[in-house]
Amino acid sequence: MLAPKKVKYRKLQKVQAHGNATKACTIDFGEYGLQAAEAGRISARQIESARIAITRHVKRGAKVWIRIFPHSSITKKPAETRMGKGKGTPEEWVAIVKRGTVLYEIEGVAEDVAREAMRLAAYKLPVATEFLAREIFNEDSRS
Amino acid sequence: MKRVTLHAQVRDEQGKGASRRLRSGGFVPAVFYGYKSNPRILKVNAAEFVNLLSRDKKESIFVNLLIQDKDGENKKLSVIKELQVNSLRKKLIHADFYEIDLNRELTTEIPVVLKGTPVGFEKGGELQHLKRDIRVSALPDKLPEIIEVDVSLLDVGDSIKVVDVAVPEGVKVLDHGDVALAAVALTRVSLSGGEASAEAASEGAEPAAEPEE
Repeated sequence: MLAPKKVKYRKLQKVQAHGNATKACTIDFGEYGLQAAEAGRISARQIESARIAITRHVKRGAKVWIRIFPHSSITKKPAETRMGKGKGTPEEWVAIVKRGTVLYEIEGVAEDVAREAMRLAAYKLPVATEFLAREIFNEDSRS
Repeated sequence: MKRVTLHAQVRDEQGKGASRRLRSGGFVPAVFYGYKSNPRILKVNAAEFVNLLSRDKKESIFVNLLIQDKDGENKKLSVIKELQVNSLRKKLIHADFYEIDLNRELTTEIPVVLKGTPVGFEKGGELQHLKRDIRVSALPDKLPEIIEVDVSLLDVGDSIKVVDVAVPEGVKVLDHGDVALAAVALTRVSLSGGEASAEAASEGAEPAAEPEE
């Protein structure tokens, strides 16, 4: 699973992802991608699980890019603990994702295979997603 | 390069509110400027513009702008310098048209299209498209729509670099020659040989490490 090698502060304040992504919101490496349609927190476990879903479907014959990284730690207090006595211990790593962020990119497969791989990956993620192609304006865009 | 025609009208209002009203009315705010022209703010019909963009890549066309103002219609030859698109709604936000002079060199990026099936495919290689456009400078009449690169001779481990690309006479390539455009590399399936063992190695869960502070 993805995790930072070294962090300056182990425990972070809670962050809400407001607004739309202005960076990493277009396809920059591959041919097709999966874009977050809403904001949220995606854990390292979920990122890995979705990656496995993609690589299994394409039978490991495509190039896949993961465009997000779990930089933020999430703390949890032990069960049956009274409130207070300080912040809990870091339990997992998450990526804070804004609406519009491209989560995965893929290259080297046909569009239908990429679409199916991304559909399977989307089941593993806690945010609504959309399939994205490099050419935004195509035959379907014509009025 | 192919020339296409697009109608535009001069707009009076500018700013966030006015632009939003334009977009909701089926127009796209735009601006026209050039080497010797004063900037003019325009609006173009969104449906007409999207139709145009769905047929051709924006880097591969010259746009004959028919600008309608109080004095009548002016014809200006331009390129689409920048296009702002809302990546979530797939709607155009704004366009920049840059006037071109046929006697003056133009620097632009031309899309690279790969053709052919590499020899390395049969040996388990995959084609990687590493650079999708090349920055060139030339007189507008000499600029090609696309640069075709034949990859059929590429074997596993081979790559085609910018310096290997043949461009038409009069076109100067500005990108560094050592930059690779496409390469054929072995896929992980071919590298590992047995899928089962590699899959287990790749997909096995690793414990989350506690980072140093």
